Amino acid sequence: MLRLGVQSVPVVLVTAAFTGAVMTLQTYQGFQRFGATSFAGTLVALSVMRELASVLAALMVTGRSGSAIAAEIGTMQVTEQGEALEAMATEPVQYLFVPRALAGVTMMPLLVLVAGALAILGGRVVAVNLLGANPDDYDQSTRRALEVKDLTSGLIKAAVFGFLFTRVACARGCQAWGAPPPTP
Amino acid sequence: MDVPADDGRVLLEAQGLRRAFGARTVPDGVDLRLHRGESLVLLGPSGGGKTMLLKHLIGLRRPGAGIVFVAGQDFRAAPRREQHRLRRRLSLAFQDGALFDSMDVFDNVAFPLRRARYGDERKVKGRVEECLELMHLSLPARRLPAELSTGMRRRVGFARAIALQPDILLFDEPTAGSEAVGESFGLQSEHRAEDGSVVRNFQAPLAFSAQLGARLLPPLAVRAGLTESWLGAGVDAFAWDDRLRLSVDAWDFGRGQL
Repeated sequence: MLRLGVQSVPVVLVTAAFTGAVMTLQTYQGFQRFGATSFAGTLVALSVMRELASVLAALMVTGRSGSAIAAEIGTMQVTEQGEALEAMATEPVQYLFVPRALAGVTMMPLLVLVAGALAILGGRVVAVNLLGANPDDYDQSTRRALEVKDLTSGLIKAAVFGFLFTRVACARGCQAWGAPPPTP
Repeated sequence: MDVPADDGRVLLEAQGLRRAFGARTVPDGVDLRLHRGESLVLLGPSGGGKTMLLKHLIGLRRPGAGIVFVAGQDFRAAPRREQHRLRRRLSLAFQDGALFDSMDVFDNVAFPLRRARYGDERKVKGRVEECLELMHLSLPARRLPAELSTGMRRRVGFARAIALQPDILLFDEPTAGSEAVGESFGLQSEHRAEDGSVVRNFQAPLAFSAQLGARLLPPLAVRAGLTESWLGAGVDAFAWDDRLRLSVDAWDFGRGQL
């Protein structure tokens, strides 16, 4: 959980904050033409919480932790550690996959929650400090747009992504074969 | 398949063990029977399927044909829980140790003890220290496998293999590239060469086996047309400790009954 969740926080936060900021930058100027700038906060909040936060966080964590899991289990496979587990009456699936899947399923929603908040904050900073939006209007449009179901759908997606990427990473790791490099 | 008579002495039996890998079949119709207190050495050239046979015997590989009995029970046919119970009666010391990278030496040796609920941490600690001492390992137990030499890793692997005092102990080429292993098994004294080297021990597997009273080669060697010079040329040897019930080191030449 530490490696998969906590240590992924920086990369997820940076990605989310800049995504929110860029979204606001682009949409705010478009909305200005129609006098609909008050919807900028709504757009960012909804798109981030429903879709983008979970997808971006999943991409980041998969790239970072998924590849690490696959490499770790792959190394175990080629150095006979997986077989050693089995030889010691331990189910490799139970021992290797279950804790990682649990970490994915529990940490991904938390990461998405934080990522969503940071994306909205990033959008607000750009809108208010760079584009001159009224902070109260922006906050109100954000609050008005978000409902509980937006949040829950994003979190459920995050949990599913968490399960899927750990499943894929473990499966790919288990498919590793070949001889380990010679030891000194 | 004949079900072996369970007189309590036959610990491990293989009947018609066969597995095909493309055009190659290893093992190819192997029958063997190992009794309590018996030691067995298998010799063979590199790539002859020795490790593969060991992995079939311990149930890590599913044979294409044939059957393995552990303590009179068909291993593959046993329920999962029973397989785990039988596995605890077997132990395999892997060629390169197969230590868990993420755990230090202590936790590696303690792993099977903890999985088998050997006892409280104090008891586990005592047993780990005992095993490490038996292998002449005086290294700090909190070192990671990556910090150890090949020979030390292998000896930690031996310590892990004997931790649960299994009935059947299998070694996969324990002496390959490391004469120091011989010292850890206390085998060097009688065969020590004049120059103090222990290498010769492992280049004379026949003499070695005779010393250990191991049942092994003649039937196979004759069948395979192996000469004494080949057998003395330093192929895979074997190791022993006071808890060893059985040592299968290496396998060779496809078909044969031991």
